[in-house]
Amino acid sequence: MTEKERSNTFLIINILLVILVACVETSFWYWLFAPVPSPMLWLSVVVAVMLYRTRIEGLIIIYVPSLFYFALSAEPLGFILFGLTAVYIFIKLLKDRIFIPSKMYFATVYAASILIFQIFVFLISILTEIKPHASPQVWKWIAQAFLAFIISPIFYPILEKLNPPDESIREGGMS
Amino acid sequence: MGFFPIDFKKIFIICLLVTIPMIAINIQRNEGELSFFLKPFFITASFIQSSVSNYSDSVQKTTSLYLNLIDIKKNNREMQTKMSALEAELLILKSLEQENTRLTELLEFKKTSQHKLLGARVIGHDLLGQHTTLFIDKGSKDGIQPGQAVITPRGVIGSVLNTEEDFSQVLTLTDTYSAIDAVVERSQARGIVEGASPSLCKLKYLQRTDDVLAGDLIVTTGLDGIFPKGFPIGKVTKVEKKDYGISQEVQIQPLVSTFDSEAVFIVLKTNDIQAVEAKMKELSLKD
Repeated sequence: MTEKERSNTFLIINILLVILVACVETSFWYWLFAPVPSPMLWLSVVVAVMLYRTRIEGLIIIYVPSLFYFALSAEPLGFILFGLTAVYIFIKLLKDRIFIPSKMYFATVYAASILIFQIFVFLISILTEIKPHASPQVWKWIAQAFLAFIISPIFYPILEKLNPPDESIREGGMS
Repeated sequence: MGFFPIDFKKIFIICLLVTIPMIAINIQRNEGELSFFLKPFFITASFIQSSVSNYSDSVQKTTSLYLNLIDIKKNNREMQTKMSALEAELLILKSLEQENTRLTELLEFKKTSQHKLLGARVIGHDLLGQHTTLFIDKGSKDGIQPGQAVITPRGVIGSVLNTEEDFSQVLTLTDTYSAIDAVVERSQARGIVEGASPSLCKLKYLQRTDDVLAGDLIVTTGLDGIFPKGFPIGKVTKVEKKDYGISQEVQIQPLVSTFDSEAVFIVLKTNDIQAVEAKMKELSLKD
């Protein structure tokens, strides 16, 4: 299997994984832990791809599964794309400056991504909707980010295996 | 190279990335209308969600069974085997009794209701958390249509937002997109119930002089032709009258928590619709 084929296979696995995790989260999490807010586990897969794979793969992981998130939420598709794009830009800017592949780094970026996603979706709702989101659920977002930070080390090894760092990242320079 | 280098190529890509979602925002989501290219995604998501929901049910049952077994083991150390087995049996019977009571309650409600109801199981919740929608295991093939009321014996849950063949998305009354025509049961003061947060609603457009107090029950008017008339929505928890303005804001605690709802009813046909239609006809004849 060539490097490209391997890379594509991993990307497809990641897309399938993110859809499966999103579906699990909408049902499994609520049956077991409601009303504790879910830590947006699907975003961990997205963050892992954005961190450890190429820019194009990062964009694919935004656009393709978004159609499934749209099916699983009342949130307009544009808001989801906007929120994920904000996360993508944040990760890109951060990765260009600080990049330390480790559990702690991943947990921090994942938790920060949750906050960025929620804040940007809230802002775009306030700016564009006639009936926007009522009020920022700051404590809920913080709880989600905290939970994400705590539990991400559990599944980090799986995500690390599914996302072997891109050549450019291994060499230390981001394209 | 500074800490913030200006790269016009990157700025152009970022602008492009921001523009695409902005274009997508303009594509409005209309009730019940889905683009053909989105349908496969909805159907696939529904299939996976149903499977996961069934799996989670089994896991839940297996977990509780396992916990029961641990209990029995502990008791075995202290008491006789027979006694433990009986206790375990008693536990199962109790859970069956609870389930039986719940199902009887649902059945009674369905029997006594004057409306045509369809029972459904909740299979999932909203993924992103900014909205409070539910997914139920009944869809258009069962006669569900967007806009139909979703209730439980204890009160209103919301209304159907989207339907697919095998599943439907329900917009709960606590969602900001939701609006229900309602009255204060005691004083008949009329307003609109809108979602305010994942667990609270607001009764809006009440006049300043309208009589409403904390503890009052808010019920549906039935005039929207969606919800049955006089069906409970929630209780008033706070009444806020500002120094200026012609209206007052009322905070409502819904009677039904969306997190606890496992089974719901969809009002396929409310008799109030005929009443509303007759009233409309009468008014148009007068004009």
